[in-house]
Amino acid sequence: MKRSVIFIMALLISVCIAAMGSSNVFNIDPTSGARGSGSVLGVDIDDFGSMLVNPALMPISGWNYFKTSYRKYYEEMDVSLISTAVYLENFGNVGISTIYGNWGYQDSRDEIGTVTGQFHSSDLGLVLSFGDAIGQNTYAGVNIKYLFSRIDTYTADSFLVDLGLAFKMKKLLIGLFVNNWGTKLEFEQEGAFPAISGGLGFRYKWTMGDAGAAMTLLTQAVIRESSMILNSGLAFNINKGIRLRFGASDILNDTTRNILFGTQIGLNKLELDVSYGFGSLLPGTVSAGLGYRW
Amino acid sequence: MKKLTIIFIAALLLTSMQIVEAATPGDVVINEIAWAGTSGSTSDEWIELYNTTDAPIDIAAWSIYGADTGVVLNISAADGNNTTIIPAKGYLIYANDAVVFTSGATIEIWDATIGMNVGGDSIILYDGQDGTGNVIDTADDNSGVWCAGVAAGFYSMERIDPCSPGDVCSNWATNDGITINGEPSINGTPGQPNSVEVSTCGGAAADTTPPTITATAPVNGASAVNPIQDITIDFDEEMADTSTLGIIISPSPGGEGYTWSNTTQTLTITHNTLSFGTTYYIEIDKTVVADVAGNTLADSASVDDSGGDTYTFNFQTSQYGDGTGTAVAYPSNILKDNHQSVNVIYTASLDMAGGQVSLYIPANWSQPQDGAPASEGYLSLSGDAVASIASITGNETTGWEIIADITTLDTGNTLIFIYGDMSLGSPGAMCDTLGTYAFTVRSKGTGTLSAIGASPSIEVYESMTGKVVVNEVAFGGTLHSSSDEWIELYNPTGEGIDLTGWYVQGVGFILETLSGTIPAFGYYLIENSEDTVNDVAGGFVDTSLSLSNTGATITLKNSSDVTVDLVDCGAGWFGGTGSPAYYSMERIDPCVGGSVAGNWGSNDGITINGLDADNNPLNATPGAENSNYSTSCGDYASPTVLYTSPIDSGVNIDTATDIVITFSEEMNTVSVDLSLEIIPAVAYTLSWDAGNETLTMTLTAPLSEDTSYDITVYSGAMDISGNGLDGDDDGAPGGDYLFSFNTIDNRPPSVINDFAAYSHPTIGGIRINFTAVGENGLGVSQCDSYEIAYSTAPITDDADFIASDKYDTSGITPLLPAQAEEHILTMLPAGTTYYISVKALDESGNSSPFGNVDSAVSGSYGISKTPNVPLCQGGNGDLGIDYTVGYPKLDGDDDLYIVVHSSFTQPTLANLTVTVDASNTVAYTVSGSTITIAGITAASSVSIDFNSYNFPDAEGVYEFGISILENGTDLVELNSPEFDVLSPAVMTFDPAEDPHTAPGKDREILVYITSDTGLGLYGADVATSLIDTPLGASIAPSSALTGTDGSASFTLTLSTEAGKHIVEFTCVDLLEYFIDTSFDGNNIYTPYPNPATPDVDTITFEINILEESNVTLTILTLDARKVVEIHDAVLSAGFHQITWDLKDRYGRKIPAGIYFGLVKADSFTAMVKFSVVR
Repeated sequence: MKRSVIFIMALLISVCIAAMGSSNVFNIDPTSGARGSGSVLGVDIDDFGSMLVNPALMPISGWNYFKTSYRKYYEEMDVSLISTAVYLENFGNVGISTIYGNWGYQDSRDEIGTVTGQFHSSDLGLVLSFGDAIGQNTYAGVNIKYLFSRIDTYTADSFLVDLGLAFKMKKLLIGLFVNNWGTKLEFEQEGAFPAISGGLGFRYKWTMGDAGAAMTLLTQAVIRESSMILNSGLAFNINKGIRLRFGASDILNDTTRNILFGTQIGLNKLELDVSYGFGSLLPGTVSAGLGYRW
Repeated sequence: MKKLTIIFIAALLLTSMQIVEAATPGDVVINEIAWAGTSGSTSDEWIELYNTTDAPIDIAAWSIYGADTGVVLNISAADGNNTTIIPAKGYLIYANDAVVFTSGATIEIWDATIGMNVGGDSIILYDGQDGTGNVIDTADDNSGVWCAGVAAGFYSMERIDPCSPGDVCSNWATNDGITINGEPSINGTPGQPNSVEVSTCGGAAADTTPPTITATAPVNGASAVNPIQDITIDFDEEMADTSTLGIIISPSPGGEGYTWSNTTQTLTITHNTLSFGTTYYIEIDKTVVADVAGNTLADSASVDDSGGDTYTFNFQTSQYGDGTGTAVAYPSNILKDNHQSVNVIYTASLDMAGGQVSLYIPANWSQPQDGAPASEGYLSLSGDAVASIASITGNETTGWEIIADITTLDTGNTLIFIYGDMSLGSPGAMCDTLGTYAFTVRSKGTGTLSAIGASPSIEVYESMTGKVVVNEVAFGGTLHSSSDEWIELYNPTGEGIDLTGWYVQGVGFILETLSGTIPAFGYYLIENSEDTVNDVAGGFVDTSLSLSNTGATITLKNSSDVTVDLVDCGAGWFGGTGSPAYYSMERIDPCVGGSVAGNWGSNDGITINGLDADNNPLNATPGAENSNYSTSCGDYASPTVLYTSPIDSGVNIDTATDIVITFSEEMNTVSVDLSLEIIPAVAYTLSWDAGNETLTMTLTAPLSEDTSYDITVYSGAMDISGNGLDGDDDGAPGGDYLFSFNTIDNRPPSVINDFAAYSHPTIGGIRINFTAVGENGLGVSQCDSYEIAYSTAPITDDADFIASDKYDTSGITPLLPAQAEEHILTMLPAGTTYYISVKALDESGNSSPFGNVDSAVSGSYGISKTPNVPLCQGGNGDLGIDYTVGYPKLDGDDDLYIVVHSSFTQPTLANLTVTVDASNTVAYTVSGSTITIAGITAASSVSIDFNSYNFPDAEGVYEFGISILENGTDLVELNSPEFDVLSPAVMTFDPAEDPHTAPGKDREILVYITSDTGLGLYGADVATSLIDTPLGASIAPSSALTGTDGSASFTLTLSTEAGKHIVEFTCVDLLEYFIDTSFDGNNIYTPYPNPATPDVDTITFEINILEESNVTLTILTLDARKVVEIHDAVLSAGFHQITWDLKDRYGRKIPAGIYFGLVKADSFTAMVKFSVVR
């Protein structure tokens, strides 16, 4: 069983290498916490938003959670997330999320360059998540997603699936995931599949003392189309309330590198995340999130 | 401690009382002696003691000794006392008995032993028992007779000065009989100062303030005073009661009585009733009226000082008793034509002695009679008054007035006019006309008879008995509910009856008040609830309607509480049932009494009408004729006219026809004969059918042709029962019946033989002329219409006329006979020969005979203008007018005039091009604004071009006049072309302002000039100039006129250098616009086209850099992954364009999505997003 799943996922990952897909809102890291520690979303169970990448992480955290997050993106774009999940006894962990990418306005220009006005673009995604333990220390999850995309007056939609696995071995957590495997987005004619991702991540956490201090090491490799993305991060739990994050991200076959850092402040069941990342080519972006656990 | 306190307080109280038991002579004096007793008994003698000191004195141990009788009265041995203490300056009465006085004075000590000699005595007061101790006072000089006092009238002997010796008679006097106190009939002043007192006792400061009058009633100068009003005078202090001696009323009304109140500060004068309209003076003697201290009266505002010794005030009594009193009439309503007595009761509000009271008897009432008791309207007077009938005047038209002389009639008493006094054998009084009558009452005191405030009125009502009856009763209810009871009323008369104010009364309920009208021979339903009878509209709903199933009495009363119908079923219903069939009780004959048992029956269950609340059929007939029905009712229905021959508004009636009128019932033939009129008058004889319902007017001579006759049957026509004609068919008698008809018209209009047709210079125009022939050839009125037949083939006879097309003549109003008709027909197609003929038609459809025929060619000219769009105010351009003549009568010697509007450039030979029939060598002249083109023929086609004309500087509609002068005499105005001139209001550009146009290209710019309503304007002069451009830029032309679409075209050649291009466009020096093609600073612009659609193979990036630099341009996906780097090379400063084939670094076409273009130069990095749609 496990081998079959792993085989399928490996196959899908290999497909990703050759695929040519449309990037969309599901390719934008939406969640502030994990982004601060290097965007290692495939294995960061300390940020509930990670379930949008690897739904197998849900049963590991096992918490009931509500989270909202906002990311100020490039060129007057932004991404907003509202997500919640609950544990249902005898069923598993289920979640529902809405993600909206506002791509802002662009000049509309005709064939000779005349500006004829402006148009707006956006993506709206709906996600139903499910995760559960499938064996001792083995977890699986699936996201079923719907994407509605608009460019000017052109629209397209797609149904997509994410698959995730997680293996817990004492302090080590391994995550395996495939994202955005779905139907074509067809605006006008031939259309294109959404950009598929697949990846493998590791998380190692050890505690330091009795005051809640801990350190978490995270790293993952992601293949998306013809790009290999490496993410790594370090998170320090100073105490039970404050968490500091640092991370870096690198797209191996181009020169884009990003340095990311962030912090999380926990007030009882409330968590506030703020993170900032900047890169070698692109300007920095800031994210903020507010979560509530119960 | 307590004991000591009590003792101390008691001692203190005792000390404070200061009761003096020891006295010196003169401290207590014998002040008044009633030695003769009182009117109650001569034994009721009494002695008044007076304490002259300022402290109380107790005489308990004292004694009184009668020197003449030898009797000693020990105070302590008296029969009883209330007190033995004489208050300071106070009195104590020692009397024979405790009840000597029934009122007005009190007795302190009583002893039956007292008994003074009538002949005289001397009374000595000792301060010890049994005549021992000190002599405190002595009364009378013991001369054997009393110093004063009178036995007759029981006048007491009064001491004049208590502080002077009492043993001398000069200090005593007899009570004055005026200042008195106490009953019964005591002419003395027990307990009060003596009437004769002149005290020298001193004590309080002497009162020297004169009294004044503070108010009088009536006030001084008052008018209209009630003659019975009392007179009061208020003083500001206590007055001597003798003051009344100085007050009199002048003239004296008699019966004056003076009464003091308010401690002799208020004097009330009663009197006999004063005379009306009389001024009374109240005279007050200054020397007599005084306060108790003897101070005489001082001036006051309430009275006049008349000089001398008199003050006065006056008032005037009400002038007369005219118009006073109240009156009522009984009864307040009486039955029409019914004799009975009428009582008008007058109640006086003033004494009316010597006055008069009158009563007005309205017209329509019985004539009032005096002195003939057996006659109708006999009049008598009754009540409290002593009065007599003075006169009865008037007549049947004006009514009558009865005047009664009053000998005595006191206030509040009555004088009753008994009109039609049936108690004396009179038949009573009667009124024969319905209405409400005012019985005006007038009264007179000493002046003239005047109407009193509100005179009574009497309503005369009509008996309604049997005119509305209780016709059906559903006492058992319905199948839906036994409570759903209802009563049906029926009107057996021929007139609707207003039920307003009527009510139905039964045991345990009153259904009030009904409203609405019950129609003639109609029904009125009273229901327990709205849906009791579901499908028959109820006239009245009252839930209190509840009829016992064992019987009840139902009474119908009108608004005057008079019984209209009575159904006495108290012993049981005369018909009908309850559950289960619920048959109603039906009245058989509405005109037979409702309490006749045999006149009622149960519904037969077959003839039924109505549904209950559940829509079950009722075994009843609410709103319909009863199943048990027969009638003996009289004929109350008014006759109507059912139909006539000829019918109303009939036309083409034969002149020999008879006129027939059919009535709804048998008529009184005489009344109909007298009520018949026909206009215009004709001779006829009348005959009736056997039933006298159909009247035939047989004409003795034919009616006139083509004449309108009006026949009227006036409302005086009656049926045999005397019911008047219901001419207006409103269900009530009254209204005339009128019908009219027109006799046949056999006279057609005369033939039209002078018809002529001519071509007319309008499109399709043909002018026709003929003489109007009138309606019937008699020359008295115009015909009704014309019929114009036309054809392109000759019309030769009437058959052709009939077969030809007819011109629409609805717009032609015929003229009177012999007048000249001229009309312009539009006969299309133009230039066609038409044959035309005309007939006249009268209103009866008679047509004149076929007349003559004429032909003409329809006019065929046409005018058009160019351009056919609005002109720009102040603009300039070419104009043109094209004219196609097509007027057959123009034969080469006719002229065409064109008048150019003065606001345009004026015509000259140089700025005109005139073309006639394609030849521009035609002769024409210009004079001022007028262009004259000679030699126009019917086939001419004329074009006039106005070259480069200036347009007016103001908005408006400008006409270029065109006319034809035919044969040099007949000027025909043609429809002239008009040019609209509008102000330029909006300047728009195609394309719009564009900041991202690549350099070095030619840009065609269309400038549109439009009005504020969006209309493109012709001839607007648009000028242009380059304001700020890089080297090499140009625009051409420098100015242009807008064409017929309102646009002018320019070509802007952009400089090859990037930079701002500013172009100014100006039109009519009003509007400016700029086009800016600037490229500023380091920047990358959105590539074009954007979005890149599937048909786009390449897109172009535009980059502007300020300094030469190595520049990379990288394409990134939405999630910032590199797609391809499309440029990496050095670029010079300036504007650059980089084209990309939309392929990634592997040569694959990129999919749809949002992408970034990232430009990186030495001095800046910038990013732009763009979209690809697949």
